[in-house]
Amino acid sequence: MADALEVEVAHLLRRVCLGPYPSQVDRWRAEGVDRLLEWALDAAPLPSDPEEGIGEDDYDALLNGWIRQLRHPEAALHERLTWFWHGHLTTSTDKASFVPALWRQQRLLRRHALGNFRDLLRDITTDAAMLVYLDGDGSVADAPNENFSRELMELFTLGRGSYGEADVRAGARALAGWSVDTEDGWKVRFTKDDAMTGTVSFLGREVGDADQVVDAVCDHPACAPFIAAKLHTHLVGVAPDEARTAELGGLFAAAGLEIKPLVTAIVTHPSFRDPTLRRPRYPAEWLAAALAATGSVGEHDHSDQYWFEQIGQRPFAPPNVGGWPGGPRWLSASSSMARAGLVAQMGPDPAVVGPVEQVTAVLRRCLLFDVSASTRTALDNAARAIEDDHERVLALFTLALTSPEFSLL
Amino acid sequence: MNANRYDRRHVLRLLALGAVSIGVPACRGGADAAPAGSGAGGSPPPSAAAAAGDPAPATPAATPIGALAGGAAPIAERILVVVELNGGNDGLATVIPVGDGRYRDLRPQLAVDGSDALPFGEGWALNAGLAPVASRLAALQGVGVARPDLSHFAMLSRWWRGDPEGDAGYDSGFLGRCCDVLAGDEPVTGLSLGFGATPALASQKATTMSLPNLDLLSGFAGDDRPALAVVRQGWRTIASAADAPPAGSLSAPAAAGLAGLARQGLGAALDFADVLAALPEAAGGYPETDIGRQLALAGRLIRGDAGVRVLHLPYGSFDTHDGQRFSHDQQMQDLGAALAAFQRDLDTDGYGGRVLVATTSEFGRRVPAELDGTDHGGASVMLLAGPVRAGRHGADPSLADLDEHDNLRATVNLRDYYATLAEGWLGVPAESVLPAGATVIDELLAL
Repeated sequence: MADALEVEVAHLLRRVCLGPYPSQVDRWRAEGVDRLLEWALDAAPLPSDPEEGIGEDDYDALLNGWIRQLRHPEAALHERLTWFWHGHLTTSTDKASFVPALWRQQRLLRRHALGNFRDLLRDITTDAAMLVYLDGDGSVADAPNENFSRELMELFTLGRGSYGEADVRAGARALAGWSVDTEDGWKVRFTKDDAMTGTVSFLGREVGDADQVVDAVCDHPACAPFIAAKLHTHLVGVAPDEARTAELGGLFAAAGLEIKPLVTAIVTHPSFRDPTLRRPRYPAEWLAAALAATGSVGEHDHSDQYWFEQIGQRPFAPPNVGGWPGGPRWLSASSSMARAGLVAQMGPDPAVVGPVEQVTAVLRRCLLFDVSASTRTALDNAARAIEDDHERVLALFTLALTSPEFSLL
Repeated sequence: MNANRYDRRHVLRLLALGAVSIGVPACRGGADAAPAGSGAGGSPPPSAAAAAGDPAPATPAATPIGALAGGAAPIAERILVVVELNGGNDGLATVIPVGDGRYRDLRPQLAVDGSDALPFGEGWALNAGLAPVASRLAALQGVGVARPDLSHFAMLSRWWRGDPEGDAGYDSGFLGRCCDVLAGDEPVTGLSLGFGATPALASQKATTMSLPNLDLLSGFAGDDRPALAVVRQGWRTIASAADAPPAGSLSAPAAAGLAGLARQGLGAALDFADVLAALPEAAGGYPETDIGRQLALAGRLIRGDAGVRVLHLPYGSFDTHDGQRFSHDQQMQDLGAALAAFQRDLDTDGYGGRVLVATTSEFGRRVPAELDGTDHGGASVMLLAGPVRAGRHGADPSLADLDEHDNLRATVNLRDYYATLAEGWLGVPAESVLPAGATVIDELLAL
């Protein structure tokens, strides 16, 4: 029978890390759940390579760098939040194609991942890749581009219903004047002649520049609950009810939009510890976790870019400015098959499993301590059916990593 | 793209110096002539003649359906291929009002000269990229909703659900509901050729799924791997537990529901994998583009009689706030070339009369340009390729009577467009899948 503490530790690790390592279960089983959460909240950010040295077309460097961070044994909430912000304040190579600028943006997200939301929003508003992605680049006050202004309110801070079309237009005017010098390393410039003079009425106050636009959205009463609800949905797997949204929003606002107190409130709540599986494990989360489980270092013949492509979630390639949608759409049948194909390419080494009790050993490596009868039967049958050690371990990992239990979080 | 940006910056400098005038708002006020044709009340535009029975108004081709012998196939054999133009396709750059002076005034940097496009009736031209399919292409003008929204996501939800005003309360997609009516013995009724299930195909009982490619298990490199056969057996075991009482971490109803979904999906995919393994090879002649590859897969599925009745192909990035001319023309060219290859492919084996291609897009673009791009708009043109009456249909949108956001007003409601696809093409009664009042537009299809 499953050990309750082991089940709880495994569950928390799945939620705080993207690629939890099997050895961590023993460590936190010994030290306790409270210490686990302290570690997850306080773990220092992993080292990050500087932008210099990344070639302008070097997507592999970008994606390899990111997956190394996601599946690092010491990666905790800081890395998860960096990934969350990338889906929230998203940017696509579709328009922002200069890789060093994308890495610069990723480092920006990492810098503020558990910091202050207002600082994060201020910096991303004039980030080179974001300026190019949402057309702030070259926008002039006389004929401003409305793209960023609209998405800033609809998707990034307030949600629909908290602003009007006049706010979209006013925000666009106040945000004008920024441009990106694509001939000079995507340096960001501000040209006073392209910006507005005076002020314009935006969300009920007068604003005259980008910082004041950011302050206006951050101070709007809809902002803190909007961010709190989205983060809760990501971490706990379900949207908070109205009362919980108000509670978390109030806490976030009172903390001056500091992100860490909000995350702490979410992960120390009983709803986070409850081991019920609540949502699909999204593809990049699955990839990080599968690499950790199989012990694969991800340096096979195929680049990580190809792997992300295969599972349908490549960083810096969201389907649209809304980022990757959540929900059961990711449980589509094709994703199990694509994932099975990746497990075969990872080529799990039988040595990570050992010679005996291989079914239990594989499930443990996948942090699955409480599986349904059908999953267990499928693995038991596979263990008996195959003579060859490599093929048998491959079949066991494939079934475990595509099981309903591993596919959910 | 870089070149565009620099062109644009150059113009911005000139603007700042007062050397050129864009005059976007200025010319709108003066252009309040009578609407050219805004629905039932306006004077009939050229294409409205089609409603009165003219089979092919203002078409570039003399015959509506060219080489298609025998027209459309019987209803039970018909297949719908929906190409979703992601991001909001600019109708005015697709079917272009070259004869309207306001068009040139409102879009000084984007305006296309009539000689750079295909004549498409008096005063109108078709984007040159679509020339290879023009003889079998119908364009339905002015498709939209009564109260549009400028958010991608609000409008996508309405288009996906077939819910024009966002108040019908559907929790399934329009194409999914069509599949519910059509579902028979086939393993998969509706298929999206993209990543992640599309809400458009969300169904109640029909099996729908999405596949980015048809090589489901290619990672195993060879079908004779011992692990693969055993994994398939294991998946059958897991799939057969779809209705089993949940246990442990899956015990909450929500978790059991998700696990059930995962298991059902696995079973359906295994059944479908067997169908896919027997498909014919892709035909040659498709361009090496995203839409070319998608339509080549669609061609294999159709010629291989895979049983799929509704195909959904997400395509492109039409959210052209910036550098529109280049990216839009390129995507139209890719679409035109791929559709031409698709029609050749289908005609070779006599499938041409069974397949209707129809586009969707959440909205059109703002009429006055923002320099070399456009903001989110209102009504747009929808394209149909296959057994159709080629040419312009519906009521041309008016550039003189824009809405309060300077967008085109709809002259055709999306529910009537959808009714035409559901009831007119697939034989699915409109009232079973759409809000009340949805009416088939008879003039579009050559049945």
